[in-house]
Formats: sequence, C-alpha cells, structure tokens
Amino acid sequence: MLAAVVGVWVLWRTRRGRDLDAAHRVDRLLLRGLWTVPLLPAAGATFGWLFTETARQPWLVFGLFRTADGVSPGLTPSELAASLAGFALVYGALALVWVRLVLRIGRADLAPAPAADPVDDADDRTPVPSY
Amino acid sequence: MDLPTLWFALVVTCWVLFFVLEGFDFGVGMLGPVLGRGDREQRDHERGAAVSTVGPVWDGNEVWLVAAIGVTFAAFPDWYAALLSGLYLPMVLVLLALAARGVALEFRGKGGTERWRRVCDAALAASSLAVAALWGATLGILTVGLALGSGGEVAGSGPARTLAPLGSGPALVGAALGVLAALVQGAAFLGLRTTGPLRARARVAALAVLPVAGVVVLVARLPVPVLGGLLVLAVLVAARREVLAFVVASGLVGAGVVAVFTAHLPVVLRSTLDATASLTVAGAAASPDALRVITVAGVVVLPGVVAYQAFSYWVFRRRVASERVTA
Repeated sequence: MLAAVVGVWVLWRTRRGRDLDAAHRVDRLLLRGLWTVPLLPAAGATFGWLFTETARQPWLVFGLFRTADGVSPGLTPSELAASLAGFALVYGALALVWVRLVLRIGRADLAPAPAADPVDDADDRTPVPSY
Repeated sequence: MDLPTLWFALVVTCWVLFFVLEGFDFGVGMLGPVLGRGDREQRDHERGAAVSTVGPVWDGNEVWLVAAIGVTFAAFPDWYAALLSGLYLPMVLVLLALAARGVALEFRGKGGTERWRRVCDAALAASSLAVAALWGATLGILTVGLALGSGGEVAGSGPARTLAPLGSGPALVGAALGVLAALVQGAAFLGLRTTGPLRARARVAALAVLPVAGVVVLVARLPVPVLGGLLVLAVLVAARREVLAFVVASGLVGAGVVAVFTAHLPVVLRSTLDATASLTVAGAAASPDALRVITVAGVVVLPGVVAYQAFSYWVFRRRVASERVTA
C-alpha cells in the first residue's frame, strides 16, 4: 500500500520529464527515504507470517487442536536440533547469497531499452527462456 | 470404486507424475554441467542451453511432489504421519536439497559472471543427485516397510531412528535406480529438446548409463521384463527415435512407481515389526465426510492444474540451440 502511494506520487512529480525537487518538502523526504521502499514488501511478508503463526498460539487449529497435541510422538530432541540447525545453516547461506545479488542488481546501471527486433515473423516469436 | 480406493489411485498418480516429470529435470540438472563442453565460452553457453530446457517447467513438475504429499495428508492422514515422521531426517534432507536446487536454478542467470554460473551448476548437479537418490531410496524403503509400532510411530532414539532405513539394501538399490533413471530420462529429454553437440552427447550419455542400470537391475534381482525394457530403450536411443525413447524411459519409471505402491495392497505401508501395525488403504483413510469434501475440491482443481501444465509444455515446445549464434 505504502509502496503504491509512493509510486503514484513519484509518477505524478516526474510527469513529462520533470525531476523530483530537493526544495519540495515531500520530495526531499522521499529522496532520503526511497531506498527503504524495496525492503517494505520483504518485511511485510516476513512479519505477516510471524504474526499469523504466533497469534494463533497455543492453537494449531484455532479452538480445535492444540499445538502441544500436534507434536509427532516419535520425534526425538536430537532430530529436532539437527533439522533446526540444517534449516538455519542452509537458509542463512541462501539469505547471504540473496543479499549479495540484490545489492549487485541494485548498484548496476539501468539497462538501455532493447532495440526493436527487425525480424518479426510468427515463427521467431515462440518464447525461448534464458537461464 | 469407493472413495478411499479412488484417492489411493490419485495419490499413486501424483507420485507417478512427480517421478516421471521431475525425474528428467533432476537428470538434466546432473547432466548439464557434464555435457556442456568446449572452450570456456562455448561450455558456458551449452550449460545454459541445457538448463533452459527445464527452466520453464521444473517448478511445475515439482508441484506434483507437493500434490502427492498434500493429497496423502488430506486423504490418508495416518499414512502421511507414519511415513513422513518415520523418515523425518531423510525428508529434512530432501527439503534442504530442494531449497538449494530451486535457488541454484533461479539465481543462475542473476550473478552475471561465468564463475557464478559454474557455482550454481555445481549446486544444481549436487542437489539434483541428492534428491533423486533420496526419493529412490524412499521407494526402496516402501517395498519393505518401516519399523512401525502399534501407534503408527517408528520408535528409537537419536538420529539413527530415521536415518537407519536409508542404509538398508532396498534403500541403496532404490537410490541407485533413482539416480540412474533420472540420468536416462534427463539424457532422453536433452536429446529431445536441444540441437547440435548437446543433442549428440545426450545420446551417448543415455547409452553409457543404460548398461549400468541393467547391472543394478540384475544384481538387485528385479523382474526380468525390466531388463527387456532397458534393452528396448537402448535400441530406440541408438536408432535416434528421440520421442519414443523419452516415452519409453518415462513409461519404465512410471511402471516402477506403480509397482512399488501397489505391491502389498491393500497394505500401503508395511510394519517390519508387527503385521497388525501395517497401514491399509481403508485403515489409513480419512473420514468419509472429509473424503467427500476433498473429492469435490479435487474434481474442480485437478483438471485446471493438468491443463495449464500441458499448456506450458506446449508454449516451450521448440528445441534450444546448443550451437552459439554469432551475429
């Protein structure tokens, strides 16, 4: 929501080649704080999960089934510790990779608009993915 | 057909689709880094071409794993609990490898350097190998069952409780066959979906893996018709009948999965300790009311899933060139 409002505002202020104006009060605030906007959806998704899961406690299914009753009876503490360590390790490593890639993409210059393809017969328009 | 039988058939269908579809993308994941050759630039390009053949479809294929486990959870909660809890640590390993695999596939093209792509390819190959082996081992374990007590739980302490089944003979045979089947399917798929040197090397790879699979089938004393199937497959690959070869390879995998799941019917999960603790189709099924509800949901949702997946294969039906285009 907040990102959408910011987006509409910036579009309005930059209409017809205009630029954000450092003398304008709202623009100045945006120029300083705009870098946080990409972080908002990530934070929203994370806190959404956290709040959903913690707010339902001590229930697994609200009013019907307690979390304590849902634990697999055969599960041992060492298995739990091992899986928790595994998830922390792998997801921690993946998070580092993600941050590095996001920073790399964020620092890169904008790519120039691709030139129009001169050959445009129907056969060439079958999409081909690139990985 | 009563509802539990119908849902058992659906569970097996989901597993067949998972092993057949994701099998070839595990194979491509393992083969791509090996089959992409030439100087640095050419190798990089060929590996990218190999990954591109599965790029648009691999996560759709993986949906069938979610579907298989989700359907088991909804229709056979006792089976779901006994199997996943009894194989807790192997399943954790599957999840970790799948997480690394998905990231390797999706981030491969986002690092911008050839070195980064090499790292991703190595992670993709290793995780594909791990998941194919772990699911193959799980199928092997299903042929003998788990040490289920009367409560449907595997008793024991420490990590050995759920890791020990992985070391059993059937699990090792299953793991070997899981990897070999993925390699054969992956090679057949690359032959079907690429052009140039990659296509030719995929054929050689299939012909190299098939005899190894034959030896494992002989050593494990699997039914003789399986050997016949492998022989037919080898002839088709050698004769460059790429479509037929992929169909036969997939058919063999599907038949194997069906055989494992139906071998002990009506028992779906055997107890190695106590025959009365084995789970049956009727015994593990959810209540009739629950089955009626999910039947309605399934009738609405499943045709849509199948349709859009078929559509995505149709959209990406053209071959990926492994030759480089110099403009």
